[in-house]
Amino acid sequence: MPDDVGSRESAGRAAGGPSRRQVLGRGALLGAATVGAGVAAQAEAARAATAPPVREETLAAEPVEISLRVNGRERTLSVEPRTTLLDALRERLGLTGTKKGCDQGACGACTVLVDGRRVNSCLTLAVMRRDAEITTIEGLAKGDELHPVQRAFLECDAFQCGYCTSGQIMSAAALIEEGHAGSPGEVREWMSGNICRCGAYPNIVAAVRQAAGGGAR
Amino acid sequence: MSAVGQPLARVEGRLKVTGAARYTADLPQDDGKDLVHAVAVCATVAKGRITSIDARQARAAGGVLELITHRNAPRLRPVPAQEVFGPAHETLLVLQDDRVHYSGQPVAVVVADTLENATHAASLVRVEYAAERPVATLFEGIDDAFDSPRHAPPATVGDADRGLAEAAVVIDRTYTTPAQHHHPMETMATTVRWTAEEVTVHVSTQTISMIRDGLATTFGLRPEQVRVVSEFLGGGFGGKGAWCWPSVVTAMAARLTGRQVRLVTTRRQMFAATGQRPHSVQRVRLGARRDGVLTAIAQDCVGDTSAFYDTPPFFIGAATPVPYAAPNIRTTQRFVRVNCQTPVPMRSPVEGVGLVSIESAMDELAAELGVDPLELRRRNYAERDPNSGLPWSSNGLLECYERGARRFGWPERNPKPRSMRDGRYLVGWGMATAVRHAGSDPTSALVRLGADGRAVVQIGSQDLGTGTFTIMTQVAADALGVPVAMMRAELGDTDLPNGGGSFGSHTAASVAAAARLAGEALRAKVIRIAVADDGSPLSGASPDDVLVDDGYLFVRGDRSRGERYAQILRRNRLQAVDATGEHTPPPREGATVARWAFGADFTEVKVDPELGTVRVTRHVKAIEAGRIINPRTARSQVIGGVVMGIGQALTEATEVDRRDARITNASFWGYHVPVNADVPDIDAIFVERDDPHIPGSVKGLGEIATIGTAPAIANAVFHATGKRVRDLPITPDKLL
Ligand code: FES
Ligand code: FES
Repeated sequence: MPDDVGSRESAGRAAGGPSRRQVLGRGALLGAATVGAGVAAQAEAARAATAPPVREETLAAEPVEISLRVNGRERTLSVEPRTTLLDALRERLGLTGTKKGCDQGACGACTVLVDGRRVNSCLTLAVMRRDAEITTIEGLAKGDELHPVQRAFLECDAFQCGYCTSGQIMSAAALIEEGHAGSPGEVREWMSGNICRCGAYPNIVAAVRQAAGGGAR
Repeated sequence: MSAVGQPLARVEGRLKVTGAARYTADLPQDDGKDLVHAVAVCATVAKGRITSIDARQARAAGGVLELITHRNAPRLRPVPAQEVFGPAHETLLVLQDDRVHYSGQPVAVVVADTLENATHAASLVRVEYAAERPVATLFEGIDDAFDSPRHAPPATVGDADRGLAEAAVVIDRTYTTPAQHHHPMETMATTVRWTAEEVTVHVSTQTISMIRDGLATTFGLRPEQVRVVSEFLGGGFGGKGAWCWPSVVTAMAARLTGRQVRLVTTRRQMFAATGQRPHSVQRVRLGARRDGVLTAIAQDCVGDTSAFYDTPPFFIGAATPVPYAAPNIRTTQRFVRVNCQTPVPMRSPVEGVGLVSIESAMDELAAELGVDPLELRRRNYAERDPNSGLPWSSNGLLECYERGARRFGWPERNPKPRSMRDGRYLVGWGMATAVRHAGSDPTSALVRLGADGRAVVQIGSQDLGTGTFTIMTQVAADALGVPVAMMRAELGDTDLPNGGGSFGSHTAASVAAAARLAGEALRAKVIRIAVADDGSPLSGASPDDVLVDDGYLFVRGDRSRGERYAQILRRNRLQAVDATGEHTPPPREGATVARWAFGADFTEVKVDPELGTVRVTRHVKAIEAGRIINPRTARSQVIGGVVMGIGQALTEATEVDRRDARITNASFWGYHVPVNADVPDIDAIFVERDDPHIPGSVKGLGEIATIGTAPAIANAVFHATGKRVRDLPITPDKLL
């Protein structure tokens, strides 16, 4: 099964691509099959299991040439079907603003926008996104002019180390569009997929509210 | 205007909100082709021997360049504990023999052309073990607990047994605190290039100088052959402060392949890569008179250490004699060897663990006596350090109590447990005292001023994310007398003047002291040039009479007689002038004062009586840490510290299977760090003090920010529910 993942997915989805839930579901499926996704965590899970059934022949993951529309630019690259969107952005396209915090879909550091929706890019394969419009932190500002969420993060000191910040900002930008920034409580709930170990949460809430035009509190 | 004390926005902030800040794993490869990836294979047993490693499939897999095991790894030299970093780090020589001491210990490293190939090949390595029965936790090994007087000298004031015998009331309780992991969002990343001339290491570390010295020692190099760079760090919290295996195996891989090698530990590996907060059992006895005045404090701790580490780590009871003026105090610690990674500091190694029990017991004493918990602490306020008998260098604790309590509304508290409600929720208010030793490390700084009037301050320290770049800029700008916009800070490179580690709440104090000395030395140097320069309006003035404001130097009393830095340099055909500053901390031996930071936490929780869930709904933290260099970054640091304390109290524990000593919750799904919805509004109050015994009156915030929060929450849970949970974290099952 794993060796046809690439072709099934790369056949492309209808406009909008798979939903986040579908991607999550597929991620789990790939993990169960032990190979194919190239996600470190899954390989580890495989090692941990007793005598994982490795099928060498399923691993001939020939790179495929794809093009991705990232931050408004068409980029052509060669990726293996198992390459995640996160690794493709970081390792192939040099867009290292998007971070890897867990590679397991549990921290939000890798959040990017796919057709305007927030997606954990560590949980989706690059080949699945060849027709989508991808926006990363590098594409948010208009030239020198920062996006309102970026400005608000600066003004509210909504970070310390900055490692989670790209993901927080991408999530925040989408959640304001989604209409989920109506109250501090709502922001807290809808921003809870993005972990900040520096604990900047109160300032993040203030920044999102400010960017949404709802005042800091 | 003075920049110190202003809420300057983070100088590197724009880089961070645009994704342009380069962390270790983001660095572009040198020539676009050379970088290769290493992935570690980690032990799946916690104790035993490796009997075979079948690497045939892995070696045959696509793109694999090298596979390192203990059979072919370069031989390493031992790194003496004191050489790298104080008492707590890994002395294990990685990949040197077939012994396994903890689950997750690296047993092989695969290097391949792409991350995908390396990850896949690592999954093909088949390792067989002859497993032995491990000591899974403290409890399994407690019968073999041992004393280590050199590392945990019992602290003794008066006679604790007599003090307990004389007490009208004795509280005798035992508390446990779990192993917890730091989990900075950036996992441990290292990139190494090894050439005949130089080993260049990019690494996420809290101490670049430690990595340099450790790698030089273990590979038999001279320190000057190793350059370590760490410009942006994605957090650390103590977890990147220790000497640990990821950097060592990456350097091995770079040496063997001749390529630039990167290794980024996975989140799962972070549970056994860099150490953890120790697991502890703490028995506390408090003796008091009826009015609450303490007659004795006795604390007997047992903590874990790893099975392979040759000296036990820190003494968690070391600060127990500090907060309260008991005439009789004794605190001891014994250690248990466990098949786990070596415990390392986590916000903070001593106070952040050992005072959890003391602050909980004080609350139990207050309840027993029917005295308000805050009042009980006031009655036992220590006028001098009870431990050393020395006067405090400064102490704002009483004002922390007062201002924190007022902001929180503490006087409205109904003392009766289970008496306050909000609808179906039980409401509880709790508080705790926090103390943290204030110190600094030897640090050098260089400030250079260019003919364009712009200046740079350089220190070989590093910014964990707490704002070191920003405060350095502020302090150096003031010392030189230029606007902050004209000052730039450089950190994170061992080619810069030597800085210390970013731990122990030492960074701000160390870096500020050195930057100030260097800035002042440079100012004096340029003034000397100007007064000796016939072409300068300052010619002939006494150097002591020359003042500087906003980059303009003038004679005291005559502002018109002066000129700018840039003019002096240009006329003297100087492209740049520089000066250095060396900060040497006051010796601990022979100290005449006790230097500590103080704080008080006040917290409100709401507990669902049916579900046992606890929410922190309000938190006020008042801190006296001397003078605050930047109230904006300081406030963020304190808020973040409280958030970590919420995790410590309510959700975080590294769970170990007692049969095989493997961690059962090694992911963010299983190990719950606080998320946004877990965190309320947090109020930080700074009680400022001048401290004539500390340069710049900077005591440091990193750890006092977290100390005190967890016991305050535990005390609030008791107040809400009437149930005392003495085993952190307070998860719903313990309340039902
Ligand atoms: S890296 Fe994708 S969610 Fe953590
Ligand atoms: S700013 Fe450091 S993790 Fe969020």
